[in-house]
Parts: sequence; structure tokens; C-alpha cells
Amino acid sequence: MLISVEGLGYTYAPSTPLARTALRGVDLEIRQGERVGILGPTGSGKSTLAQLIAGLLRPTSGHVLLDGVAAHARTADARLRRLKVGMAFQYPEHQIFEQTVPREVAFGPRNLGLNDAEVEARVAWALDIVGLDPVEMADRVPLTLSGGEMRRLALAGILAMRPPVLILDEPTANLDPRGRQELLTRVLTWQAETELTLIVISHNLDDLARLAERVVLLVAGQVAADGPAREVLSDRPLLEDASFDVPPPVALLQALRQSGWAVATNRLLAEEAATEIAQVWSSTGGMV
Amino acid sequence: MSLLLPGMHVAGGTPLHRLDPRVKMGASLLLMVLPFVAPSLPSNLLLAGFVVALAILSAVPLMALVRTLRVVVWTGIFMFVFRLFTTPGTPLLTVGGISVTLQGLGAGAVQIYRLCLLVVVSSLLTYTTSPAQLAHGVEAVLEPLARLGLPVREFAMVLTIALRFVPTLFEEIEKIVKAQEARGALIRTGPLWKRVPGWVPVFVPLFVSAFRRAEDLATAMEARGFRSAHQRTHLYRLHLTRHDLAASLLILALGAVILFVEWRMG
Amino acid sequence: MSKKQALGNQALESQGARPFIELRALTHAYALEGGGEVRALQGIDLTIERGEFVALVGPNGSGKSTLVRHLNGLLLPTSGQVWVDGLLTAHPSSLWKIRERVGMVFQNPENQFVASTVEEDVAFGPENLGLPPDELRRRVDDALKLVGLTEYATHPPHMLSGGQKQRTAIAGALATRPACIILDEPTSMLDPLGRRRTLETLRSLNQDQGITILLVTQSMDEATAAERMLVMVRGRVVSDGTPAEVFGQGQRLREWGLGLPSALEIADRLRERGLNLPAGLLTVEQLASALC
Repeated sequence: MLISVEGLGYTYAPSTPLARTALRGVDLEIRQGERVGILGPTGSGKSTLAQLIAGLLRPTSGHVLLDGVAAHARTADARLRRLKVGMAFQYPEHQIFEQTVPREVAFGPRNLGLNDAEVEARVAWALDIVGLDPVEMADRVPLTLSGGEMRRLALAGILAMRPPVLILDEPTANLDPRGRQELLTRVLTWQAETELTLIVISHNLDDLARLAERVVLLVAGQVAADGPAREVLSDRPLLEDASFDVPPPVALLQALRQSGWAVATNRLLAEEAATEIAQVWSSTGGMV
Repeated sequence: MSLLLPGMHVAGGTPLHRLDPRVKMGASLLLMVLPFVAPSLPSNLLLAGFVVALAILSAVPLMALVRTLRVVVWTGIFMFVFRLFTTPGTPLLTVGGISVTLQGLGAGAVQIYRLCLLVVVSSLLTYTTSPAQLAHGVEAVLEPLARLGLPVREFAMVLTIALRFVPTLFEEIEKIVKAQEARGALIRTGPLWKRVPGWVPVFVPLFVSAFRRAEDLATAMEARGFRSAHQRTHLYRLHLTRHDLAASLLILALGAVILFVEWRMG
Repeated sequence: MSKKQALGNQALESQGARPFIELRALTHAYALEGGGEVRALQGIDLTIERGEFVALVGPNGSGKSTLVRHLNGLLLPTSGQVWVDGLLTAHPSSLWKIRERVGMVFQNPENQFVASTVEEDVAFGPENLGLPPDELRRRVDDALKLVGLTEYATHPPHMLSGGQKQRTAIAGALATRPACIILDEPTSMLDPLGRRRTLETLRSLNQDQGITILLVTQSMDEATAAERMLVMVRGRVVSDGTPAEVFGQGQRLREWGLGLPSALEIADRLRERGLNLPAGLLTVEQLASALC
């Protein structure tokens, strides 16, 4: 599905004393299979943008088109297109309401009007893909799961609808390092297997370095940068203007470069940075 | 939230914002009661003019204030129609044995006017008075009852916390509604018979979250040394200024003038 | 001598060299609904001195929150003892004195506000102490100044950014003039700027005011900024030392499910690739200067 965002603006509580403009003049195009990170400080409008893309808010100006159809339109066709955009809000486990794990996962597929056999197959598939055992989970009450498991259950509920587009809002917030690692790995696997369009909203540069190939930087409701993750996330002046620090591997590479190492500075992950440093080190015969 | 709801507070520094909450509460009460004791047209023109003057003084955009009336549109229509058909008098139109009367039209209009006044006056009160100030006002007004052993301070505390959580709960409902709509639930759209059960996936998580918030809040309050409302002191002390005195005299004068007009008109 | 050392020494004299916080064989068990119990804390012995800056890390469910809730008597031991400033938390009469001396800030800033304006919320703690309005005003103003939020005094808390909310909560804890502030994952919901400002605030409270800080965190990079680091796994403190000492145990940290600070992770991978690097490189700056 092609997502086109054109001249998009959004104002909360318009023409009241509490009016607040969250987005103005945003243009974007996201193609099927892209992994896009939307980065911005708190209040930069990134969650608003995500909700507009998912058709959950009506734009104040401009529009969001899903394969050419306005995302928020009140037609049956627009609704079906909207349902192709899976949206996981921050702390998606806070929306869990069913009494058993399979029923929770089945909620979305049932709303799609699928038959029982298909729903059951999707529940098993989705639980498996998030790493929850469908047999063991058959009678579990969602509220008795651990925090990490609940997060994955909530995501299974969205994945079971098989959306070609998946939006994740701060997917690793509140997870411990191990839970975070596991979630990131699984998300990348789903994305590769299903050629999903992945849109990740985050203020966590490490998450974006892992998940995104393209990063859109939002500052005060406007696009401040849109480009390959390696470029945007290693652009120190740009990030500092938006009150972010470069990721630690980039900081290290930049420090080395300043003291004469001929290293590339746009390696975002620890392993990439180490490889880069080791290569330069061995190409100089272990002498720097 | 797409509209300014009654009960929301808009911070500001207008003379209306600075008035003592007790004065504002008393004045609001008077303005809401007067149309019931003073039915004549001149009194009510005076009254409506006064409220419009207050609205201008509050610096709340008039259109925003008018839009808050949307909240009572259905109540208004119901009350108007009810009066229209149930007031005896000169028939204007008769449909199937039920008559619309001239007097009914008038009575209906009066109902709408009173309802609007009620909403506008209470909105002005909450727009210009922070929840904290309101709670202090209530506590101060009810203070004499505390001496009779009634739990006035606890009540004020509960009121403060409830008011403080109103915006949070609205945000929460909106977020859950959107999350479930993204999973295909029919909540704000779709046929009515599907919409009602559609709220189950909203209310269950809402209650779970409200309980979690309540528990967190109780823990935080305990950690901050809360025992009971009784030995607590307050950062703010309410004291009446000359402005409060002037405002009180003005509103009492308005009341007196209106009552005088009513008396003269019989 | 810095103000902090001075305070520390003074405390040593006045308290007869007793540590500020002392846990003796602390055990805590939660009863399960269907019978049985979960032992969340399994015999913890620990002391924290006045003026320390301690980071507490551990995977979710390791008992960190249960532990810190014992330090101001929100939870009481199933067995063992918790002493704070010479007072036993199990004594009901000590509880209110302990809570005056040990402030606490929680994870979700949204759920710990009582009042509708910043200054009134900050006043909540001292109001509970029954202080007169003039004193309340002084304490609120001082606390807001220390966290840099003076200009936001009359704002409603829900209009603040995440970092400002947490600093409001810290001001609320400061207003009872505590000797120690405990923070239970205060930065986990904040963006990088909010995190940085919150940590700067904590550091200055520790350095300039001599306030003891116990910071529970999921971020290993945050933990490296502390003087002392505790690791909890399954209800036990499994490691206690300077961040360099704790992170020096490399592989064990991964077993505990904790991950490493970025600099340490890069250094490890460089060693695998044959570079010879000294141990104890915790920050990017240290690693960079070791390489140059």
C-alpha cells in the first residue's frame, strides 16, 4: 500500500483558547515494504502523525491517502483500507480486554468478518510469531502475564489482522534490556517475512537505529529531516537542534575521526562501529 | 479533544480570573437563580446583558463559549418540544389531537434561555477558576459544617483529585477508543446496534487503568506522608480583597435592581 | 572539603556512625491468590550511607520496586529489619518521620500528581506535615528553584513535558526536606532531553545539597553515572560495587539479562577482533581516549 501525506496539518481543540497545533505542512510518501522511523522529542507531533496515517484523526488541513483514498473518509472502502494499517499505541497492553489470550487475539480478525476456522488459524499464527506458545496460552488470562508477554500479546492482536502496514508507537518503552532485545529481533523477522511496511515512532535513537532504514525527524510539528537512517542519525548538528544526542557508536566514531582515525562516522550499531574501527585498525597494520 | 467542554479551566489573568472563588460561586448561583424568580422581559434583558459583559471580561472567545452549548443541544430540544406541546393556551397548529400553542412557544423559548444561561454561567465559572481554587472555595464555604463533624475537608480533597483526573480520563477514553477502532471495532461509526456492544472493549481497559491509576496515586500519597485530611494545612489562604468586595456589591446591586423591576411590574 | 563531605561527616558524628539505611536479612513474601506465596525478596543485607548516589538495576520482576518500597515503609518486611536514620520501619510511630526523611518518586509522573497546579502539588507533602502557610510557601519556592521550575509554578501538571513532570515530582519530594530521595525508574517514560534534565537535577541535588539518591533504572548508561551500583536478580542483590567493578563481570551481566553500556559493548567487540584495550572503559569518552 502506498501512503501519501500531503500538506498535512492538525490542530487540537481548534478555535478555542486551548488550541494547539501539532502538525503543519507535512509531506511524506511511504512505499510498501519500507522501514521508516519517525523521530522527534515529546510534543513534536509524531503520535499525531501516526494517528492521522491510521485514519484515526481527521486532518485539519491537507490529507493522508492510502492508495489514493482519504484515510479518514467515512466510507466502507476507506474503513477497509484503514484496517490495513495496524496501529500499536504506546503501551498497547493497556487496551487488552478479553478474558483469555486467544479471544484477545481473535478480536481484530473477527471484526474483519473472517470465518471461525480462519480466525483460529490467524490466532495460532500470530501468537507463534510473537513467541507465545498457542497451546500453553489457550486458557491464560491476559492480566496474569508478565509485562513483556502482555506487550507481545497486544502486538499479536494487531498482527492477526495481517495488516500490510504496521505502526508501532514506542514499542520498547518500559521493557527491560532482554525484553527489548527480543521484541526488536522479532519485529525485524516479521518485517522481513511478510514484507510489511513498518513505521516506528520513537524518541529512542537505539530502537530506530535497529529498526529503521529511513528516518523522518519531526520538530515542532514540521519535518526537519527525511533521509536514510545512517545519515539522519549521525548528523550531530541536526540532532542536537532537536535536543537529541547522536547514538553512542556515532559519538565514538566522531571522536576517533577528530583525532585522526580515517573511520566512517555513520555506523549506528555497536557491532557495526566495532567492525569499522577494527577494519581501519588492521588496514594500518594495527598502528594508529 | 475537539471542543472546549464545560468544566475545563483556561488559565488567564483577567479580573474575573483573579476574583475569590467564593465570590464567583455565590455570583454564579445568583445568576442561575434570578431568571426563575424574575420572569419579566426587562429583568432578563438586563441579566443577559450582564452575563455577556462577564463573558467579554473573561477573555474566553465568545464563539468557543457558544460552542459549549452543543453539550446541551439534545436536552434543549427535548425541553422545548415538551413545553411546546404541553402548555395550554391559544392553539396555533393541531396535529392528531395535540396542539402547539402560542404560550407553549413562549414557554419553550424561556426554557432554552434558562438552559443556555445555566451552561454559560457555569462554564464561565470553571473557565476562570482553577479546580484547586474551586475546591478551596467549596471547602471554605462548607467550613462551618466541619465543626458539626461533617467530613468537609475529605470531601474537598476528593473533589480536588476528581477534578484533577477529569482531563486524564478523557484522554484515556479517546486513546482506547482509537486503539480498538484500529482493530476494527465499531464505536463512533457504524449502526447503533453494533456500537453499544462496541463500548465493552473500551470500558474494560478503562476500568483496569482507572484502578491502576488509583492504586499508584494512593501509594504516591502515602509516600508523601498523607494520613488524613485533618492535620493538613494549605498553601493558599483565601482572603477577600477590595476587588472581591466591589464585585460582590455589583452583583448584589444587580439582584436588587432586578427584584425592584419585578416588584414595580407586579 | 566539599559541602557533601561536610554533611557526611556531620551525619557520622550525630548518628554514631550508623549507616543512613540498613537492611538486615530482609525478606518479603507476597501471598498468591490460590494459596502459596512468592518470595520477592530473599534475605537482603545492605547499607547505604548518607550522601551516596546509588543506582539499582535488574530485570523486570527482580524485586527492585519491592525493595525500594521497604525503605519508606510502604511495604513492611515479612522477616528481617529495615532501619532508616536509626528508626525501624516496622514501628508505626516511626513511619511518618521516615517518610519525611525519605522522599519517593515513581515511574509514571501522570499518576503521582494530587493537585491541579505545580506549586500546589509540590506543597502536598509539607501540607501533610501541618506546616503554616508562610513556611509552605518558602519550601515550595525553594524546591521549585532547586529543580529549575520556578516559572512553571502555576501551570497545571498535565500541560508539562514528561521531564518537567518528573522534576515536579522531585520538587514534591524535596519539599519535606528529606535526607534521601528514592526514584523508581523515573526516566523510563521520558525522551532523551527529559532524561538528561532529570539526571542533571539528581546529580546536583546529590553534589550540592548532599542528598542521598537511590535511582532504580533500566538504562545501563544511566547506571554508569552513579558512584555505586547494585544488581538485583530474583529477589537477591547479586552484585554491589562501583559501576566499573560491576560491569567488569561482563558475561554474568548478560546472564542476568541486563545488557551493557554502549561503550563497554563496543570495547568487548573490539577485543574480540584483536584490539588490546584496558578494562573498565564505561563511557564513550574513556573508550575514545583509550583508542587514541
